[in-house]
Amino acid sequence: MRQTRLMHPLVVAYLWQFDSAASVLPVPRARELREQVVAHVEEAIGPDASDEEVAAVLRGLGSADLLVAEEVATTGKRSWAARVGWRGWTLVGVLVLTLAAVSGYFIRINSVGPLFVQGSAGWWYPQDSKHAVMTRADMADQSTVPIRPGHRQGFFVELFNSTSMTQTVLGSNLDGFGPGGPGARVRLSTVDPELTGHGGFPHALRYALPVSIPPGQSRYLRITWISRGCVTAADVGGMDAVELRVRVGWTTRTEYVAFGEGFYLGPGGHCP
Amino acid sequence: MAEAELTELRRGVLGPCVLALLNERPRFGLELVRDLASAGGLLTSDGTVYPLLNRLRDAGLVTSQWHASEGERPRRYYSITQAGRQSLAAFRTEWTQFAATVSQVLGQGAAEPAGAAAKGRLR
Repeated sequence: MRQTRLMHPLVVAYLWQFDSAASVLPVPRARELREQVVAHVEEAIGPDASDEEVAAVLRGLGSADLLVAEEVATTGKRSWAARVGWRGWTLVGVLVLTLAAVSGYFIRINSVGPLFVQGSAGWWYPQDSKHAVMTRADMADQSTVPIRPGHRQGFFVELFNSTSMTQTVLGSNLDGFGPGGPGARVRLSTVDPELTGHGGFPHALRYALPVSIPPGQSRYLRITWISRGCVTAADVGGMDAVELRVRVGWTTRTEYVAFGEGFYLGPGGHCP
Repeated sequence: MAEAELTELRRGVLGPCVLALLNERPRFGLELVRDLASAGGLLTSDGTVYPLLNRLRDAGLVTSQWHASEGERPRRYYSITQAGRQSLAAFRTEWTQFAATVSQVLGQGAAEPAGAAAKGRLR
């Protein structure tokens, strides 16, 4: 019988309105007031009450908003923190954790140092390395070879990944142009020359792009181009660094890699 | 009198009235509501009694406890405390004086316009 009274549609609607209005109250207060209202309804509505009698009892009780307003005047509103509720706080927690994870990820990625040159380096083609002249100016070493117009020239350096994350070289900023002319190719050895016993033998390895460099490993970086025209002693051109596009984790960034020594082209024997 | 003012007046005296009823004997919620309603003009709505009871309990003037008689549903009975009795006694003293003063002032206010009108007619 008790359930029947509480399940009367008018009572259900009233309690729904009450619950909605009472959300501003502290939870124990809202619970207590609801219990008082329910007891009142159960007592006041007879077992065989008509719809009109039920409506009269609820009308006499006053609107749910009025009841809650009276209670608010006594106890004050529920604090905003309590009104957020556990679902709200769970959502806030998830958002904070997500934000922290994303921030942590980017902080970690940004703290990962760039690749750097270490170990073997030199001209790629024997006819160039034979004629290389090492000079030193302004505390910088510079290796210069004669330009060979119409021929592919280039050099290699050993790139080392000293970080704890794998770095994948995707490309460079050369955009097809090397220091001596067009047709520039940037490639990396697919294996670590030191681990495979090919240290000092760059020609024995296969080259490709992109290539991943795991933590603590190195790869040969080879840059070649087809030289064009002639250079004079006054306009010697070359490279002492390259910008590589590198993917670290889910992020792609540009790393500036200095060679330690510059690779330059000087006047060639076939030029006027 | 405007309804809002009457509501404020009721709100002010309803607490002591509840204490007075509970001073007779403990009552459960609906019983209290019916007794107040039968006195006439004290309640704007039945539901306002419950926040009031909660306020009185917070103030230590009323306590409540569940009681189940045989064959009846459990009911929460409200009782007056010692502090509630003291508060009621203090209110009764104040109220007697206050009501007498208000009645006297209202009585004078009601008499004056009639007298003034009579004077006007004499001229």
